[in-house]
Amino acid sequence: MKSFQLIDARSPQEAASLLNKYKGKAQPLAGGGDLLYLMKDRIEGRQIQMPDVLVNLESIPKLDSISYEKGKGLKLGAMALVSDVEANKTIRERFPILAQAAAEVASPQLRNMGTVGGNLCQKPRCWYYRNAHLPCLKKGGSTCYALEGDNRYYHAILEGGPCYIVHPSDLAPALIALNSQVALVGPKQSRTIPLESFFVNTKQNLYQENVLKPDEIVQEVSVPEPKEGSRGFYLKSRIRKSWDFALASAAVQMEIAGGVCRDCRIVLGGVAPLPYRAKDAETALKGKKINEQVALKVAEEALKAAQPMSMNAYKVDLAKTLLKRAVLQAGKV
Amino acid sequence: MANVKIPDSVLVGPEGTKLKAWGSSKELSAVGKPRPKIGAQEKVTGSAIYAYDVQLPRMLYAAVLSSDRAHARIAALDTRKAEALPGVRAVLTYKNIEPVKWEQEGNILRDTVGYVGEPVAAVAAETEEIAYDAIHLIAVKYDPLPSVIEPLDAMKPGAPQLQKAGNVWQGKPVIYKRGDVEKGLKEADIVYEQTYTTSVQHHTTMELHGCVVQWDRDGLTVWDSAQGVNQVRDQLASRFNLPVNKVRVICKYVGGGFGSKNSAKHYHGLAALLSKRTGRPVKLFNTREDEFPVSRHRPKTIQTLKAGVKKDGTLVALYHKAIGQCGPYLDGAALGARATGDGTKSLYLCPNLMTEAYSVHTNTPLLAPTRGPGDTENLFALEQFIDELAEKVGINPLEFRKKNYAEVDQPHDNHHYSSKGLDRCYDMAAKAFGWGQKAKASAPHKKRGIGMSSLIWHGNRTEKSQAGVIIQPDGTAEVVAGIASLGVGAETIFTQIAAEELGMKMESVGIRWGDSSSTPYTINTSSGSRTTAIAGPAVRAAAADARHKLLKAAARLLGIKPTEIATLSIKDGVISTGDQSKKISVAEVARKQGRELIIGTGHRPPNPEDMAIEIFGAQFVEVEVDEQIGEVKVLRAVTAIDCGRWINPLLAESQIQGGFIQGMGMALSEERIMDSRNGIQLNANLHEYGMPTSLDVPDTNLALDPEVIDASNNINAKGLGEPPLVGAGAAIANAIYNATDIRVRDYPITPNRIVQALKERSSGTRQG
Ligand SMILES: Cc1cc2nc3c(=O)[nH]c(=O)nc-3n(C[C@H](O)[C@H](O)[C@H](O)COP(=O)(O)OP(=O)(O)OC[C@H]3O[C@@H](n4cnc5c(N)ncnc54)[C@H](O)[C@@H]3O)c2cc1C
Repeated sequence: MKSFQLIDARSPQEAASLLNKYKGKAQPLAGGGDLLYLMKDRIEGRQIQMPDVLVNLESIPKLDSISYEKGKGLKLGAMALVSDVEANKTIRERFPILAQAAAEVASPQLRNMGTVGGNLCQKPRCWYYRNAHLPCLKKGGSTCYALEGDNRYYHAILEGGPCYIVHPSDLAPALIALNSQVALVGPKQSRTIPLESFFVNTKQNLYQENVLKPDEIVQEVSVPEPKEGSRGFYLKSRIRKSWDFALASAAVQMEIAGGVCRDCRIVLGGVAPLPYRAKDAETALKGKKINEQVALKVAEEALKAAQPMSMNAYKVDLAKTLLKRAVLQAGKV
Repeated sequence: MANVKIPDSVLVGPEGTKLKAWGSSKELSAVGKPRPKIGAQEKVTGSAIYAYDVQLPRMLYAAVLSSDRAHARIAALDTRKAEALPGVRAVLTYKNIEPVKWEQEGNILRDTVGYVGEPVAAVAAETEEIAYDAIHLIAVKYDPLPSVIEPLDAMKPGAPQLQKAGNVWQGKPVIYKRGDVEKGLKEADIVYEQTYTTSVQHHTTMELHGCVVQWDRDGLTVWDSAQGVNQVRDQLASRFNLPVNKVRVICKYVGGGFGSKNSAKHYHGLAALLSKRTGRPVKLFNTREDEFPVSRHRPKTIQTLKAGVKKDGTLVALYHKAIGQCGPYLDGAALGARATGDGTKSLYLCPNLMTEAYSVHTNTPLLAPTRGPGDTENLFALEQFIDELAEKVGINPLEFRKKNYAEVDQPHDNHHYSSKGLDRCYDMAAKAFGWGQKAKASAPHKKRGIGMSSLIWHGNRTEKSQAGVIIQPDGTAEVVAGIASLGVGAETIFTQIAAEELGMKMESVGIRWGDSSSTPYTINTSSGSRTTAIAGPAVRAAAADARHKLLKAAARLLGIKPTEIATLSIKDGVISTGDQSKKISVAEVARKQGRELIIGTGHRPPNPEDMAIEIFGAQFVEVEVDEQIGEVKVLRAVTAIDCGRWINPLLAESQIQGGFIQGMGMALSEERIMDSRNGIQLNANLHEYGMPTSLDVPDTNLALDPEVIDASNNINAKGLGEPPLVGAGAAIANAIYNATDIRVRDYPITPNRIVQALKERSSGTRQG
């Protein structure tokens, strides 16, 4: 691994200032589960540099807190551990979709290391991007190797192009389904935006999967209190029972009254360069009584724009099945 | 099995005596007992010392730069920056490496590369970090040469030719024939043909491949992670032209081998040359990414089977063509032509049979034996095909197999087997499994299925083996054996064999192993499930020799004539006459011997000539499949294996359980994924190369002992390390079919393949 300088930050603002000071050369370090992996594998290119400086976020007090206030909702510090999200009693009771998603992440060891902020900001899992020998498009090269190469697992069926990564996070679809906001801190200013608009696809930005500025960090994710009768469900498909990223996943959060869906948010994971909000599917679900037929229709709507690649057409069926089941599960009273 | 006649030729004892033929394990005191594995506690607590743990004074660390090209000539190579990096002590490339003929292709480092992962340069430095930084400072300019990655492409006209004989290894397929297949097919009521593929499986050992080497005036000392100390020693001595007594290989524990750590590989050579050049010890272990090409792998295969069957299920003709992928070089290439092995030729009675095996050169890493090489690829295909045939004729798959049972070894002059307990394996495993009943699935969208497979693994040919047994002055015994402990427990088994023969308690028998300079030549390397069956008999012979000497000494002390020592026996460490009138403890005899230790030596008698030796078994599996998302959960596995006598049931069970899981990995999730344009492996890491996790393994993984006593050697054992993997894949595939009516004929049976097959079936483009 290339050597680097590690600087402990004492506050989010100081972290942002350090990033600003070493602009282009520094990156925030959370659990390191992804960042150090990339550095060990020496993943770099014209458009991604390995950092010389790591700004340690672990030294910032209270950034790992998880707090809940009735009526106001949940606040997850950027450094909250995925395993703490998974185990938190309030989250299990009031935001079960989030606990489910957290439990699906990686393996127990990795969940003990990985943080909420790091999970949202992790880099994609395209095996061409992650191969040090291949100067792929996303690293600043001129070829997307996945387009005509092996794209069977972790490549897009929706919104792909010119690069065909999928967003790897399990937490993101659940958090977006819960209509979360994310607070970003820069050296001088802070801003809070919907988590949904935090992510961008590869047409908007080929080199970065979110709107973070080079000197900004994620400080906190806040999840509003779900309405009365709101229920959620997260389903993920993978090759093994653990330690695998999603081939596809579905997050459904909906308000139901008398078996009828009043409102809902549907997000798919593992299918697009960003967590994919399926708005047409939401329209197809709203106002309907939940049953097998409706769920099927919702799934069809969600995948109707799918454009599978040479080896991943099965993901369309897979995502449909997951979404259909998640709708039925969430709708079960 | 009662009344097995053990030939006298395998029961040769010391000084013209004859060893006792051992009866059922129930009658024995140490053999057949579940002695916990020696070294297990050390491993669990972390105190066991592996090669990776070895730290020597002034030790340097090495790193290897490997090729990222599938086929290229090195046009320019600049090491100046690497050499200038503070802490770098040596850089080896083809330009400055001394000439050593390493493989058929020549020196360890050459000016061409034939696959991604082939070594290009090696660095030794003061720290591991410096060594890795240095290899990234080496600038290599490659001139690409035409390359070919897929075996079917390599067989096409116009493909770049990688060997003089062409891309088919040796220029032609390996062919076996008996009877007349065409005639047989004409006589058949049903003719059926099908194609299957298997994927590259890697060994993925927990301990990386590597060694610590010190080359000084005393010669070459290697702390290795190896499956045997002698083969690596012999190869290093011959390649470096050193006397054998100047090369010492030490390896007590190994963190996994599975066939990948049998021989001296390029990293041994590079570490040795770096040590020679710097005059300092060198530690060289691969990165996890480099492990994949360095450990080498099981070939991927494309297999077509065609059979003719009578309406009543009698097999009358069988044709099997297999194409296996090997690397660009001759090294390891033979392993690509082994998928038409004992399974096809021996398992079922079939008068008309032909096999045709092609090993095809491609610009991919080289092959190494991978637990159950050949027979695994063979049975993953054959045993699915047998199920398909059974269905065609409408017979239960188990009945179909029994109907075509072979009592004799057809490819080897119809010899009788030294033992064949396959029928017993079928029956006892079917009974324990509850074959025939299918339970209800746990959810409406899930389906249950059951499946089975036979398994076969070739037994061992005659080989020489030697061992020693020392009776120490306090009366404890020590076996001395030239093996490395591969982790399967050979050393534990040896103490049991010696204890049995000596009439001593297992706890009083220890063992010394793992150092080529202080042990006899017990085995070259532990491969081919041979160690128990090859070395075990030598250990028994050595113990018998020690026993004989002990009894002679005891006779002297007890005042018994040397001609009457046959009246003496040893039990629980006490030597006594038949009427118990005279007795003396082993400890007492040993104490009186003092420094004149009793040292028994023994060697393995040859196998009986007229017997075929094969290992057999049956595996039954229950799965639950969620076909819409392609998820398979193996719920239960039951395996019965006739490997002759189970010397240690505890260790036998863990071999069977582990073997099944490794086979399950190959069947469901393990696969090398390689870009067929550039030969780069895309999943060269433990995360994406899908070995099963603890959540994937079945809750029930039962191992059954058919209690076969084999006639081919003095301990009645045939070998067990590899067989349990061999039938796992087909049993799982057959169970998936039983659950879903979907036949996935390409391994691994991953979610994408199941979901895709389901889609094709519902759209009518696929049958079965
Ligand atoms: C083998 C493996 C399997 C995995 N499987 C899954 C899976 O199935 N599902 C899943 O969701 N995840 C998975 N992960 C991801 C893992 O769970 C972690 O979320 C991930 O490693 C990143 O978390 P971290 O805290 O370690 O972040 P780091 O590695 O420290 O950082 C990751 C990236 O985020 C940036 N970053 C971190 N924190 C902040 C912040 N507060 N503000 C701005 N930028 C920040 C870093 O600069 C870096 O670029 C897997 C990881 C591995 C290694």
